[in-house]
Amino acid sequence: MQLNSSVRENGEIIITSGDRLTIESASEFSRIVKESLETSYLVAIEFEPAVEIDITGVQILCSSCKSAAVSGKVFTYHGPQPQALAEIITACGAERHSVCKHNNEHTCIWFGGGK
Amino acid sequence: MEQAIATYKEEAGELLAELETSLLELEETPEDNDLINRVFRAMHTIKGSGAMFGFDEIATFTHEVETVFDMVRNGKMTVTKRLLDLTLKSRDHIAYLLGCPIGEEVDRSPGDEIISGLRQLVPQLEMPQKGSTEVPAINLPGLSEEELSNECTWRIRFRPLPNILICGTNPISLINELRELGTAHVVAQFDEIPQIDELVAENCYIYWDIILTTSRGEDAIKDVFIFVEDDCDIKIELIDKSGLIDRDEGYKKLGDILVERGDLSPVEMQKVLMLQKRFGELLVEQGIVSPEKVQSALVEQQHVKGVRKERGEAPQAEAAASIRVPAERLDQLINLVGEMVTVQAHLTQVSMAGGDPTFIAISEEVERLTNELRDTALNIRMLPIGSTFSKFKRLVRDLSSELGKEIDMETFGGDTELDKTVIEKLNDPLVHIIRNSIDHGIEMPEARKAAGKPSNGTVYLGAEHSGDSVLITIRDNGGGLDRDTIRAKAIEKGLISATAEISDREIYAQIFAPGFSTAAKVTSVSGRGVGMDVVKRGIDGLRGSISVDSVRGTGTTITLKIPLTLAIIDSLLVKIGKDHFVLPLAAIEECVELTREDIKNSHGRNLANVRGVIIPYIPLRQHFLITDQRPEIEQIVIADIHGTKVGFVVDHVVGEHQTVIKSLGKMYRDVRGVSGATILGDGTVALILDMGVLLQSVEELENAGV
Repeated sequence: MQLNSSVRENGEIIITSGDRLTIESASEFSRIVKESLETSYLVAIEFEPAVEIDITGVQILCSSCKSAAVSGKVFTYHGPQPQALAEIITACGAERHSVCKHNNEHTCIWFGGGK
Repeated sequence: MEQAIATYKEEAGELLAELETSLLELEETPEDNDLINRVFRAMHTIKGSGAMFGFDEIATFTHEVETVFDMVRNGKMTVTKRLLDLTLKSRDHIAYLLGCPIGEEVDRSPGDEIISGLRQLVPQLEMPQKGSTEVPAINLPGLSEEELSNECTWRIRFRPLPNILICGTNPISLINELRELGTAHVVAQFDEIPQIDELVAENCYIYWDIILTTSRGEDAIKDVFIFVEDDCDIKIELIDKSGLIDRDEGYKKLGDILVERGDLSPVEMQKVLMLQKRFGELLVEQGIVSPEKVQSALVEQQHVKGVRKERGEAPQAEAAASIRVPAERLDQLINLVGEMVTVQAHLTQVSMAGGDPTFIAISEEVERLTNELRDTALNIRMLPIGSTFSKFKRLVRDLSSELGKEIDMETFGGDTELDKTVIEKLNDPLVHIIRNSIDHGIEMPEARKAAGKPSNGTVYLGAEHSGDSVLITIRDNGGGLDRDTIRAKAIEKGLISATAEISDREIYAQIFAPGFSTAAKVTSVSGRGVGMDVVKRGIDGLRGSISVDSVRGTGTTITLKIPLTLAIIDSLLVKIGKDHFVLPLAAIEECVELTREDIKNSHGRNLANVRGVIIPYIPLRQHFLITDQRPEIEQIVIADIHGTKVGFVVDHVVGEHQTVIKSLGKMYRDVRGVSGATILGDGTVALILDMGVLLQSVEELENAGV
């Protein structure tokens, strides 16, 4: 499956991850998220179970989340988080142990954390 | 990425050279822990960086050898000749793999043989599966008491430059390498990730705080970043050491950690402390420090407390002492300094001609500074010659074993420094000389015993300073040169006449003639008569000289005299007619006058009587077909060329000159007797004369009866 986006009837934009959210597709991924956040209140990602994710993918998730929080929108995901995301979070020390100030002091849905 | 790979290859090549040196030294002192650690570290760095740059074959193979040396390091194995043989072969195999393009099929059989050999040495060792491309983690054994006492905790802030990902570097590989060094807590910092409309997707915005407890020292940490040091900011701070820093089990307060890291100012800390709440929460609440940074500091606090609790209770970070600069950039610097020396000569000339004292004073100051700049710039290119000695140790080791001889190599003066270009060009001549010493010089063990010598022969290789030159000596305690056989062969080849009365040294010098060989049989090592003339040409090309001394039955000594640098030389500037010429000063002994009367008295022979000694001379005016008015009194510049005194007749001696050597174009490549050119202060070109070749060409003309 390709990295892509589609709009649901309720206006929610679903971004499908495709096989990889890595540096090769980073530019495209960030463009799709940016355009989606510009046009919709609710943007969600559906991950392919075997998707590959690298640091650029992690950064785009964090950046999108910050942008959504600033503009009062929602950036989330549907379905289970892929194994690759859990692995890269552990590998690069991205687990949060505190709330995210960019996420209105809530636990980060991507990287964890708590009050 | 290509540049990163090229850098890796260059640095891996240096590590392999260091590895070879350490292994050869280890052969002599197998229990030297420093050497064992050096071998291990070289392997570890080659492996880690290899994996990072996609050299999976290298990483996988090196890991296996590294694992064995880890056992040696931990006293579970001893260094044996077999282990060293296999490790030297491993070094060669890594060098081969390094030359193979990434992703292409490589010949694994030599590597498999080596690994199989290593397995036999340590049958209990669990090696990874053959062909596995994944680099397994090193299973370090439990820490010894000594290692525990060396345990330190480091605070590392690793902040990659934005383009690091595009360059092909994966920061996570580096972080994983740090994890391999000990116990690590890693906190990725996300505060610099911008919002999506400002994000450049391929840039790296994350940076890392790592708290690492390890017994491996700061160098091991720096080694992890060795290939990316130009692509990131690294801050490494010692925050805890067994027995040295804060013996109690507690650790710094959160505020102190943040202030130390530069994430919080002392004033801000005091302000927040006044509020009597949990410090971290207050900082976040007031937006003074981001939660991630507080979290990272808490991780450090917990980490060190944990380490201290566990143990019940290195020197400070040193500033980088050296930087890596590409060799081409140094060459460019030398070229610029050369230009500056030329311009400065012009300035001096103009100031002297003008006679203005202020201007002359300024030009003298510029001259002083230029000379200092020149010396400093030339010194930057100086490298210790010892870096090449290890190659020769390996050569002696391998060849002696091939020929069934027992030969040791001893070196001295390895710290003698020479220009890097000179060192590079010395390699081939030294290889030929040493091969000859091993093959023809040192006798077989039985023959040595029969001659009352120890069965082990020795080749000595050393370097020492001698004025503006370096003397490189290659000496063996073999059978020595056979004067009579060399003489007979030289007569047979028409190199000398049968009646010639020449010194032993001149006879020995015949071995440098092209195609000259007295070897009864040709071996794989030498005896084909090609080699020593290559040596001669190589040394001539370096403006050096070569001499041979030998005592039959005792051994041979070959001495190479090499100028310290090839870029700028001290010379004597002379004039013939309107043209200037430059003679290298190193070989010049004196200048004497040559009058018309002297010429008349020599009856057409080019000989001068200098204080009772007859010295032949070459009239350069005649040689270069310069036809204008000859002065009444000419000058003979007397030089010592390979032990022979020869004069060169010129019109005037202008004086000493700093000559910046410029190479001649292709058109002049075959002009004999001219080795280069230089630009004088007034912009004119002066040819640099090669006195040795001039003498040779005149001798050839005379022999031909011209």
